[in-house]
Amino acid sequence: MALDDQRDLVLARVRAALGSRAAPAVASRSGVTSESKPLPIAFVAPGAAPGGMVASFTQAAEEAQAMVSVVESFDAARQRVGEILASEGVGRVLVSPDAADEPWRCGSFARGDDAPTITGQDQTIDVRRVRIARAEAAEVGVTAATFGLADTGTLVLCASPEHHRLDSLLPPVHVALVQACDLLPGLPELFDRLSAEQGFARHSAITFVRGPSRTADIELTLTIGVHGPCKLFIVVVEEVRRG
Amino acid sequence: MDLHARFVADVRRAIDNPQLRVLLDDVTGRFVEKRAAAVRAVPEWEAFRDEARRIKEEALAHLDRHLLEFERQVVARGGQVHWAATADQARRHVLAIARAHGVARMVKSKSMVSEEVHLNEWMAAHGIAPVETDFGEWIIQLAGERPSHVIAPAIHKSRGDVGRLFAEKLGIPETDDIETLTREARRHLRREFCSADLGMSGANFLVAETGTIVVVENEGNARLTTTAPPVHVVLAGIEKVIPRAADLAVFLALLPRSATGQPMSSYVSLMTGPRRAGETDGPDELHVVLIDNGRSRLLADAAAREALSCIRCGACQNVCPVYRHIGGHAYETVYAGPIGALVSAHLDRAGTPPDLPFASTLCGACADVCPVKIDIPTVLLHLRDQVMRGHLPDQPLPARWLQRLAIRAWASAMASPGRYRLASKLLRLATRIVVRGGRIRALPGPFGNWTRFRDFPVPARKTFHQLWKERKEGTAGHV
Repeated sequence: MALDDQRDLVLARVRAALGSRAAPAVASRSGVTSESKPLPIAFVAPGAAPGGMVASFTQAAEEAQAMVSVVESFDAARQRVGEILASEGVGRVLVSPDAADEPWRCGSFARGDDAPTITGQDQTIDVRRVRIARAEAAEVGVTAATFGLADTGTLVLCASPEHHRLDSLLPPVHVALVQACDLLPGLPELFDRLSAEQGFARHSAITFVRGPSRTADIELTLTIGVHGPCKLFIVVVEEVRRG
Repeated sequence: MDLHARFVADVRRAIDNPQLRVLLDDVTGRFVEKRAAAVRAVPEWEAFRDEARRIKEEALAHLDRHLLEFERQVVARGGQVHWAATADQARRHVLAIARAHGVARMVKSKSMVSEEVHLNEWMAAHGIAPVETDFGEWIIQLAGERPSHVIAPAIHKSRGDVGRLFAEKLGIPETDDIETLTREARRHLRREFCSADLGMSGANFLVAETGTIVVVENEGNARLTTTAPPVHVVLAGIEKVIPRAADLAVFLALLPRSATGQPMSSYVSLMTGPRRAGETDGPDELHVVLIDNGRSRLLADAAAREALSCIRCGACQNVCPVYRHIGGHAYETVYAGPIGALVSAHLDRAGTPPDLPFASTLCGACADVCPVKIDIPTVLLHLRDQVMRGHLPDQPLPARWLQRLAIRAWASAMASPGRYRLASKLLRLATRIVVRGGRIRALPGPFGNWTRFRDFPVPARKTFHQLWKERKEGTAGHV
């Protein structure tokens, strides 16, 4: 097909551009050599802060306008989710399977939607349309988070059959559940973990979430709540239990 | 009107616009402060910059290898890769994909390369008008304007401007309340996200090792664009490739801080292939369109190649004294400010004024803030050299003979102390002639360019040499 021809053309141009000069390319004026320096780890050493990783994560996430609760047990977490939903006064709550399953067991909070649970295997209905309609109609989406980054207060969400991407995106309120033992100091540690666990091969989407959505496109005035959620609640559980 | 004349006219118009200049000064000033505060909080900032530069150099030095690996990985995860040597080919790829899926409605998140290839107009002309979803981009799409700043494209519009625009185009009551206007954008664009047949995004990074597409944002529109519609198309320049996923730890530390002063943006999407078996949300198909469009030309120019390292943070724009006075529109190119001057001639030869490398004071503020340490002033000098030697667009430059004469005269005067003193004396006499009311308000002929927008102070009665001599001889008096 005529459109495919350009692959060879582009590669040929790139090779010609590189081949005409000896690699390494330009003598670096900044004095940087081509050897890799050991990467500075986190900006903050979260372990050193009082309260350690949980305290650092909480502080950093709150700086991004997330509302963080730290609880001791999964029972307390469930109770906290109930309190959040009650205070938001909502009628339609969507709970992603990863928040409904062990160890969170928040499935009983799902309400306002009588349709059967969708799985990715469903062939009989237009899964996409139903999922979009359902997430769009919901007032709150409750999901788990796979990791948290302590230095910036960022959640890491990994798409899977149990974690539905739209649940943390379409509803105006997102409640995220994360275990303290899944908090990592920062990005280098996260990429180490993802590499070790084949993260990019297993998940079609890994999403970092820091605070609710925002924009400053008009006069550089910060406004919270644009296309993504307008509110983010995070519940951190200190009890260690693998789901 | 040729490109040079148009650029000069644009600059004059911008300088004569006090509202624009106040706005630019305020906005760029705030970006600069935010960035500075974020950088101060990071003691290892310089180490990160060094590492970022090294990674980009490595990526570019073996670009063909990394591109092929990226393609291999994307395909292994169920995605498709299309290659476009030119802007036209890129547009055709997108249209072909849209037609193959019977696309009627299309949403788009921010993509500078889509502006570069004039995608929106092309698609609209073929019956599929992409809807911009980034708040700033949507505002200027409604207004029929071009972006004026790489991070905040509608920053030249006041809240009143936006209120009037929304009242006119959306039929809502006119308001200048920013919260209300934002809610209106959310309400209106939600319908588009949920009904679109195709979502197009750009890419901040393409990871060769894993075939991952990385999109950095704050609003959530990119997440929606890349999750809700059944087809996701990524438009990306070939220079966006980085070797490893772990490299992102460096770039994600630098980009949000440099762009908006945030330690991390609200959302970063790392997308590898379409949705997997068992996943309920996400596109069924993923297409990546890799675009050359002059990048290989820039790659071939070893002295300018580092410009391809740019991660589009906008920090150079915010500190540039030229950009801060004239704004993005005056450049008339897709990429404005210091980095725009570097890349535009290669990416859009026909549309780039030859003046851009000269529209710089070479102050170096841009090089100081560039997160990937592009040595912009040195590359600008190289580009100036190319323009003067005629390698770049050969627009006639006015008064070139006069410039040559002046430089020869200056070189001659600097070559000997006697000639220097004589020239200095003559110059002081000459400037006396043009003094009006204690200032030099207007110089004759082509020298008039120096006094068109500001006055020169009058040179002192005595030179420093004279004062020094008098002091040593004990005859120093008042100047």
